[in-house]
Amino acid sequence: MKAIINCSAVLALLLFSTGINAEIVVQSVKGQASYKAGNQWVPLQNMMRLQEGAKISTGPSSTVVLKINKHTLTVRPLTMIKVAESRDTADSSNTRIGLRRGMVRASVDRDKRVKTVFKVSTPVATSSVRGTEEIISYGPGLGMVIRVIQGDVEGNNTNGANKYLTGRLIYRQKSGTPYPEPLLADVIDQAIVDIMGRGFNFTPAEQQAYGMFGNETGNLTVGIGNGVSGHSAPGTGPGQDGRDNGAGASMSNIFVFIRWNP
Amino acid sequence: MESVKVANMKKLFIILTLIMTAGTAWSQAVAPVNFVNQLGDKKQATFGDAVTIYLLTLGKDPKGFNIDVQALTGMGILKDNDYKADTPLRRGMIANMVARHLKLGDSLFYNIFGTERYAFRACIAARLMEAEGSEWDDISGEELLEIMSSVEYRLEVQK
Repeated sequence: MKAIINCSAVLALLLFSTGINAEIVVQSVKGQASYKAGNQWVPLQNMMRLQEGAKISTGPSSTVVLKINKHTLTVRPLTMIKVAESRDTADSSNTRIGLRRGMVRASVDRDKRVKTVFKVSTPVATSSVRGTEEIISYGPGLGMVIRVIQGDVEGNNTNGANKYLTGRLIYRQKSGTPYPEPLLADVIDQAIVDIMGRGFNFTPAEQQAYGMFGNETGNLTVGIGNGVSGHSAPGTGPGQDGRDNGAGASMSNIFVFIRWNP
Repeated sequence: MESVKVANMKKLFIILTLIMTAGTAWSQAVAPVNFVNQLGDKKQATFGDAVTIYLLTLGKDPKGFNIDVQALTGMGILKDNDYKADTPLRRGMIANMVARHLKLGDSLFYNIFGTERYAFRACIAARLMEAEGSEWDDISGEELLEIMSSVEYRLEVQK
């Protein structure tokens, strides 16, 4: 009987010793995901506890949600990460994630009494979340992309060039380039894609605007503005010398609207 | 004596069945991740890799190159495929698959010609591929994974 109890105690110790002080908990696994144990990839399971330095890889259409200290990290499909640091004390919280490829969504718990550092590093740049939510991706072609969902984020490339991001700005840093792309580049690109995608199917507001300004053809006016004058609703008016929220180009019989997404 | 032997055989059979089932479940859980990790280390991806990863991304199990190509053709992702499984993958080839799948209609020229060249341009406009280079560039396994990761994200956003 004594031997059985001793064996059980040793087994329990072996089973749970890796998780006694671990703060990385697998909250959910969808699809196929593994972590590296030695030289082998082992399937991840719900409520599994991982240690600092854990490498995680997800398969296609697979997602893993990790609870790291009080933060939530969603590891998206085709991603490989390493939890490089995970320390939590009463007044500080340090988390560093290495993103080798793919995409993660970080939701950072913000407590003013706790000095929180949450960094996601890639070979080209590091993102520091100041709160509270962001999506970060990295690949060899498009480089590091940071999409801010909520709060503000600092993007810091390997040359030391910093960018502060808030709202819906997107940070893009490619490898081999000294500076990240302009933060508004994505907004302009999106607007152009929107025009091409919609063709000439104008909304009623656009038709109204066309009726008002459609005769001003041939004046070669091209404008992009951000609502300084404030007398035009977003995306419904033509650009006039870059003053209005809608941006327009009118020449010959082509009339183009650039709309900012709501 | 005979009944004890039969009972032992039964036990052994059950244990072996359990081990084999667990082994199969284990390999099924790890196989796609292993494929992805091996693909990530490849300096040159092949057309076969693209077909496999595309099917896996769509939540379907690959069943061999020819069957997989037929499946993707049926879904409209491939059309008149002349490539072999070991053909080195170029940007234009994967761009054409992506543009068909996501119905990237933003490129006027892609809508007209439907070629790999304009599929590549459509993917650049959709921020799925980098603008530098051409549709003839070979791509690595890691680049292929990056593109597929962007495709998955876009599909999720579209939902």
